[in-house]
Amino acid sequence: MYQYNQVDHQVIKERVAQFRDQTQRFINGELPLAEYLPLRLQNGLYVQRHAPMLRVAIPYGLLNSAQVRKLAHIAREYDKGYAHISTRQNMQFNWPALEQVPDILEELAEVEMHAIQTSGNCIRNVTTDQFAGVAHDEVTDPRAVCEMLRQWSTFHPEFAFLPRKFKIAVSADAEDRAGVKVHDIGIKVRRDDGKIGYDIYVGGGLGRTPMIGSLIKEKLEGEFLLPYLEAILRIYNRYGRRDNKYKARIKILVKALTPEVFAERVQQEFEIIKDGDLHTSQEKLEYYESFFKLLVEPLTADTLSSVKATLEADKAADPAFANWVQRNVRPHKLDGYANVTLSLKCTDIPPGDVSDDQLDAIADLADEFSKGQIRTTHFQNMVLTDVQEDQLKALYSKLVPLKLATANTGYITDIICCPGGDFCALANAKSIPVAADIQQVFDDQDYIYDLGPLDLNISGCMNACGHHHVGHIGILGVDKKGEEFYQLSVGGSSKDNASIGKILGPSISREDIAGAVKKVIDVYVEQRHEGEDFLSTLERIGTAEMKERVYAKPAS
Amino acid sequence: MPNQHLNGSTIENNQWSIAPEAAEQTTRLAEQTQLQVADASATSTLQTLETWATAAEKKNLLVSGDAEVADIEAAIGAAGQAPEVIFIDFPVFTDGRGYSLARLLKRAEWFNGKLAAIGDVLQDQVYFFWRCGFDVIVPRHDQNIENCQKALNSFSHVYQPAVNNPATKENKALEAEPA
Ligand code: SF4
Repeated sequence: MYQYNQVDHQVIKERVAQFRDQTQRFINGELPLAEYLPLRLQNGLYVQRHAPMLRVAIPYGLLNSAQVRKLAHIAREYDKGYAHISTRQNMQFNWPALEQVPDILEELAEVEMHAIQTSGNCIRNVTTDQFAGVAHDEVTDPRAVCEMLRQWSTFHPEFAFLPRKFKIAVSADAEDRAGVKVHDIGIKVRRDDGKIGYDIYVGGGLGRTPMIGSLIKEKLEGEFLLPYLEAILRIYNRYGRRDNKYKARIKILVKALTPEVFAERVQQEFEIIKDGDLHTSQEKLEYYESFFKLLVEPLTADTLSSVKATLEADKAADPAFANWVQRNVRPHKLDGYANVTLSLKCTDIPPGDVSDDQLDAIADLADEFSKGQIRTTHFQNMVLTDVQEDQLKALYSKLVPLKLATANTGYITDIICCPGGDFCALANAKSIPVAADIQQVFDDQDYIYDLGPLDLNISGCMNACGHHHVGHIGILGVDKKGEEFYQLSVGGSSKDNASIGKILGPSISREDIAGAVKKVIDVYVEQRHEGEDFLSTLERIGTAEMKERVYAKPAS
Repeated sequence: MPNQHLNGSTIENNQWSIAPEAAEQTTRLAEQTQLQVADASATSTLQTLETWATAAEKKNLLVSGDAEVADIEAAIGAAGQAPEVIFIDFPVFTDGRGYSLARLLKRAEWFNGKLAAIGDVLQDQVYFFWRCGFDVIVPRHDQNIENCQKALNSFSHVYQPAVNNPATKENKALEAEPA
């Protein structure tokens, strides 16, 4: 992974000192609230329902064990003993005291971490596939590009006060696990005849006006990536709307101009700057690549066959383990290794929450099994990569008592859920208890496997932090005369076939929402053809029957 | 607060007046800054794009952050005289359009004068102004000019090229630790 040099360390220290001064001026009353606000936001600090919330950046979801131990320490010392993984792979603390935040940032800086640009109207943390660099289906490791973008966007002096927040995702895998079409800029890495190129999507996004991004540039070369992105940002900064916060995202500008005209304007600017300071030499590209090497070596044929044999024997001996392997373990680039999802979706804990003790244990497990590295995922889980397959059983045995071995990755109970009304000041309704209700309705493991992979996403308000639009089933909290109601939508997807879910009908009360999900699923189960997944069935039968079932008046 | 600004890293006294009277923009600027409209004690006057053609003194041009470069060029071309300083107005500090305008003006062939930031100009934005090529920074009336001056040195290194760059981190890294 990328390692700080002396310069990075110094800059991060300078940033902490700057923020300490800003916070002190605010506390002393020298800096008005309105002027402190964007400063604290650009350091990841929100003011929430009960206390501030600090969002720590996890660049493209990659962590080492020392960092995870530090996060555990922060959860324990400054918070209530847990942290929350956000849908953009970052880590959130819900209870820090404002005056302690500079201390937390100083502690984070010791392990090369920070909270820079995790909020505010600036370029946010770049996200990617949680299996980047180890995925069996990627065209190349996208992390070098992510790191290049991270550095370019960090304290970018021109883009600190954009019309609105700005999110970039990069994906190099076959199914698009990063959701590039639902980001302000999505970068899809491709390989044609051995040559790497970048397709640039712009203007996707969720929120109030969900949109699928438009492809405005194909096969851009790596050397021109930064100038092209700078051109996009410059056009957006100049012409994005600033009169209405709900119309300020780049998607509105792209739509207003049309993607073609927007692309033309970007191209004009790009032509002027493409060979300038931002042009990236091969040497520089290789410099970024040098930080992201495979951590494991190919196994010899003999070792490989014994590794495989051990795994098969372990599976045969323990059906629960075999089931977990089937559900939570994904193939690795190299045969004989595997990538393991640690599910943070067991029923009695809010989705994405992880305790200080769990974090410490995960750090130890990473040292023992996965070369000291850990990933966070936008599905709010964690991942250990590079685990040799004959070690899976040992890892599993240690995950079970930690409650990190729930075998539900990708299934209906692997719910994406924002913090919602329990924590978030912007919420219309709670989301965590709804997730718990649904997990309770779907508590039969065999039944959920039979349903096949299903994305169920919940947001507590229009801001869509829980990505409800792109869930196969999406739930959105709305406020109806002071009461919590929920809008139910079906048919969304964030993957390569990205689409926005359709709202089924009038919003549904808190008591009825889990039951309504069950009814939708019942229709799917009754109507599906052999082996047909939820989205395909939905495409074939439409929503009429689901609607009818969900909104049927109870027989009197 | 003293009636001062930064010229480069030097603290200097303001010597400007704003024209014309009774325009919305200039009235606001007179509130936000230490400058005044039609100040008889001033030695020089900021003119807007509208007044530029007819202004007797063509030294300081005041433009909005959303001004089009082509319009500025046309107005200057029509008047036959380029300003010494173009002042970019930041009506509220969260309106970042002026930063991009600065980048565009900095590279315009027809302009090699100075750029000034004026309006809701705060200490915590000084570093960004400087990096985007502003030569002159006229802080809001309540800002401490010494703190603004210090803010020019907020960071020892930067992560991306802009107009004014101390050591860029990337180049430094390449020199120091070849991959
Ligand atoms: S979706 Fe709304 S309620 Fe949920 S975290 Fe985002 S802003 Fe808060």
